[in-house]
Amino acid sequence: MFAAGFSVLMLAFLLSLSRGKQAYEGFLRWLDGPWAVAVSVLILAAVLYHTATWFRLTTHIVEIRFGRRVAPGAAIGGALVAAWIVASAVVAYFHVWFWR
Amino acid sequence: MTAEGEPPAGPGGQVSLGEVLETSDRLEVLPRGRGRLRLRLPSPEPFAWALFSAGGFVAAVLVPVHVAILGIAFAAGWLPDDAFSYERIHRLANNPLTKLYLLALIALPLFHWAHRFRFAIHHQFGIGLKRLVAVGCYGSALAGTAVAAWVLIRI
Repeated sequence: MFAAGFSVLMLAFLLSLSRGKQAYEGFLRWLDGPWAVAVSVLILAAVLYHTATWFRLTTHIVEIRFGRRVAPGAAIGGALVAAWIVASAVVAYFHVWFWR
Repeated sequence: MTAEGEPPAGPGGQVSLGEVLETSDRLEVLPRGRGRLRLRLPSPEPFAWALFSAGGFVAAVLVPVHVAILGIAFAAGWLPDDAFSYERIHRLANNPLTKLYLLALIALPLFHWAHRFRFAIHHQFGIGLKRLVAVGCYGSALAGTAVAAWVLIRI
């Protein structure tokens, strides 16, 4: 639900980017304002809650076997959290520091 | 009389072959008549569930960091000065790999929302209108995807 809100936000960002420098900088000014931050905080809180429930669900549903042994749910959860941290770091690197 | 579905027993508890065949014939051969050759089209349901699942994964793993950067870190001034300059972001978004990534990043959560919201309308709000709701939900997600593709092509 709130992730779709992010889709709309990202779409608006890219739309302004496609309409040239002036439109893009106008959108950045809106992003700098209190409304954008309030909406983003709301989306972030909801999405982090979604991340927690999604990972908890996954540890219940997914069963990984090594021969006869079944990986414990905690291991799957740990791997998911590790993957999440790595993915976030990669995204942050490309979004903020790459090609500067 | 024997119980329904069981072969009748012959004299001395033995079952004659003819009786077995007759019974199994009755049980196993499909009734002839109309409707036998009706084609069953595969349901699109698994496709919707696959998109729901992929969207849920993207929303869980990739969306938080994007919201944190775009919506909060930028306004808070935590990013380097030129990180969001038009030239840099334009160059970044102009890469075909980035465009593909952005399309998935935008579209998959929309389909996740569509599938989730469709069932919320039926189960939580108690509204029927199955076909209309499905067309509205998946249609919105498709429209969002089309707009995203159009915007990305124009960048």
